[in-house]
Amino acid sequence: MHPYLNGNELYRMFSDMLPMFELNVDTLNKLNVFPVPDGDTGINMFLTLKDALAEVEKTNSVSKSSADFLKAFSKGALFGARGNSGVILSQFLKGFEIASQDINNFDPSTLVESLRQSKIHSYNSVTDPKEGTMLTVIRSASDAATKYYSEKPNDLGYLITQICISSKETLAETPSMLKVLRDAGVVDSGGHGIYIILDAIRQFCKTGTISLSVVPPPIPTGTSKHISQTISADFVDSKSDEEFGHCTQFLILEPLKSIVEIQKFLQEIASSVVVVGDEGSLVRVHCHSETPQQVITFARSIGELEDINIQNMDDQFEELKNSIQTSSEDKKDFALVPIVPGLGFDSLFKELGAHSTIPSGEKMNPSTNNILSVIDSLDFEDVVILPNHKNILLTTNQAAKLSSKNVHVLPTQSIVEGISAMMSYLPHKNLLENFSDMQNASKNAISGEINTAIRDAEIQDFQILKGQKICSFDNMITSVADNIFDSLSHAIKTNIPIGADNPLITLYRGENFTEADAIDMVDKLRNLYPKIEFEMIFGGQSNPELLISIE
Amino acid sequence: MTVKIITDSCCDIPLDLANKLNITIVPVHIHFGTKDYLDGIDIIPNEFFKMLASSESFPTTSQPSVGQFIEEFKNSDNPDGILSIHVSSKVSGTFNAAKQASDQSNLSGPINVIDSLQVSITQGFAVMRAAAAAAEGKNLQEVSNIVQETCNRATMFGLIDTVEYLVKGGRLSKTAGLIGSLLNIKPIIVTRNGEVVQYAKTRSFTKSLSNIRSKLESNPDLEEIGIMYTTDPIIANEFADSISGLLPTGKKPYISQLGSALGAHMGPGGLGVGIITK
Repeated sequence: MHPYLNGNELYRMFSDMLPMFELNVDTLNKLNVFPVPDGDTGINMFLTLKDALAEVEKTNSVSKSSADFLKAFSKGALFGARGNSGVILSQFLKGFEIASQDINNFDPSTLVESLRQSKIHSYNSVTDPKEGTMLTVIRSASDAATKYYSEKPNDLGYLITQICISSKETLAETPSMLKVLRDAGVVDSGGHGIYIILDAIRQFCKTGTISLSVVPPPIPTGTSKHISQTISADFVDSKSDEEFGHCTQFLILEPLKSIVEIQKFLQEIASSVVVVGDEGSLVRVHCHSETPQQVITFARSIGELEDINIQNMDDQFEELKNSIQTSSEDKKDFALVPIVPGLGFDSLFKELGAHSTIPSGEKMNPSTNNILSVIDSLDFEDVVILPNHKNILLTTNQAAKLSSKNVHVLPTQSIVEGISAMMSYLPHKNLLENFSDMQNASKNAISGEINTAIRDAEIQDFQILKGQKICSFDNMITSVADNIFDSLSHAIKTNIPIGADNPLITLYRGENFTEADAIDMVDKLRNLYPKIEFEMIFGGQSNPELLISIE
Repeated sequence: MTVKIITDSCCDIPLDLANKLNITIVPVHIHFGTKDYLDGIDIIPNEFFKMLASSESFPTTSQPSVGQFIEEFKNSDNPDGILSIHVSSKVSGTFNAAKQASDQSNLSGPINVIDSLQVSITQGFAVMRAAAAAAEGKNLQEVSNIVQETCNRATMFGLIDTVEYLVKGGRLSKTAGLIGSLLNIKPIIVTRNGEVVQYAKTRSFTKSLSNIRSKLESNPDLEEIGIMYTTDPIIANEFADSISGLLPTGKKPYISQLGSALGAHMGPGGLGVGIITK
């Protein structure tokens, strides 16, 4: 779409990138194992980007040339850089600044040179560069840029897409380069952060926007499916006895020593030493030390310090450990698979903890084979199926018998029973406990529906005309009226057995029931029955028009 | 002299009450972004919840330093001894810091450090009982026994209105089948062996309240009920009225504001309910 980006577009790109990156912070934090598993890569990179952008806004470099924009942006990143990953990110951005010094528009050749400079500056900032880290991903991006530029020298979209493909492959290979990643079962966190930035650039160059979504880390190559998207609890346990010391960071104004000299000195008393900046004017230091005071004393002797930040990484590790171990509660030893009659229900059940779903519909109830193939595709030996309809129960039982796995049918007869059952599912309980809790809970709500009569009829003493709306509960007709609202309202007034305190009526609207009609209807119901709580939720079923749950 | 009772600010006992009962509270640290506050000293719950609602960053807490504890222990050193009672070691490093401090303090009198495996007011109830027993002149061993068996009979529930903070705090993941934004789910959490786990989820806060109310009603042996609000004292008072008949005659539910330790994860509108049963 864009042959090049001007300063204004660069600004828009990075400001659109920020909220998207923020969404990914938690994912990145939970991948963080190298050099220290302190769970802050995501937040550090995010805050660095945020400060970089704030500097642009502060210095009013928004609508200037791309050179002016990137100069302010890179300076802001250096000032705001936090943590190892943030400092390296600031050097990644410095590459962009250097490459675009004398240009107005950021074109494919600038991107090639930017990434080349990013690579040089990132590697130079670290005293002991390790492969399998964000450095490796930056190098791979630069190599890909050089390689693919000549193929289509005027196509920025093509170039950045190729760069993204290559970096993603490299990112997936990081565990095979760095043992600690292998042990923890994750790809490199900072590397993934760089990939997220590259992918955001790609989206912007191709479409002019950046979608707000979480970018999942790639599955590592050459490893088994046990690699996950967060650090394994076993890895965290294995690190429990280690001492991590203090993450020590500050800016030195007008340092008397060169960057290399500072690096050399700090290497003797600290690890993970990163020193970056402009010789003699402003230098940022990041290192890990058991004796942060010693680091500060040295730095004070060579210049004025600003923005001193010392964090106890043992405490940070403790927090990470707690969050990982709590989320390991989610580890399931069985899969819950409901059969769902619409897209809305698909999301609802997944949100409640369903592992996978099987679609059903008015004319396409799943076959035994459909159900079997879903069961077989799962990595679980124990599978719980919720048929969610009385007509599907038989097929489900059949599939359960034929499967070689342990299939347990939780005989929910309606979608409302299915939702009630899922409400009592608790991930930390085992299969037996959950199965029995869920079975009991499935009867917690009363299930009803509203259908349209397809012909004139007389059923259960009701004279029904074609097109009328029939409200029924547990297959017993409770009211008939000319429109949905009257039918439902009449049923609530006269027939619905509301025994419990604080009744809640949930209405699941079908695919043909518009949102506007839904809002209108709920407003009217709330006015009419102030003591009842109403909720309208999109179910997406083709039939009936409205499913009703009363609890 | 009597046994000296020390605890941490996770017990959610207001400072004036603590002073009256001769309890020393060591504050935990609360970090909001880059700012550091001493719980209950630099920041009180009301301000904390205001900041929680308005701040971009999620607060984290860290335990008091070993040094802070050594100082308190040395100040309180006495021949009858010190009993230091702390928030569950499963959710905080406070107990470990206190334990280390007790090893390093070289006190002349005895000291006992207890992991309550509780948080908020159930820890608070144990601490207040300890203070009462100490005031009666019971010895260190006797007071420790009272604390231990009180903690064993305690449960803390958390009724959550806004799940956002639970997610932000990383305590429960979105995929855990708990955080339902589509269905507007209200989770209830509970302490179990010192850990905070899911207890139930409901479709409305009123239903959460009735869930806990029937849980309490089905228990004939309630000794204490503590109702801890985050931002809404009215709900706390109404709930207290609806269950006050469940306590022995003459006893009323204890109502107070939840502190930051549990409050950060529960968020605005949340209600903590702590009970001690026979």
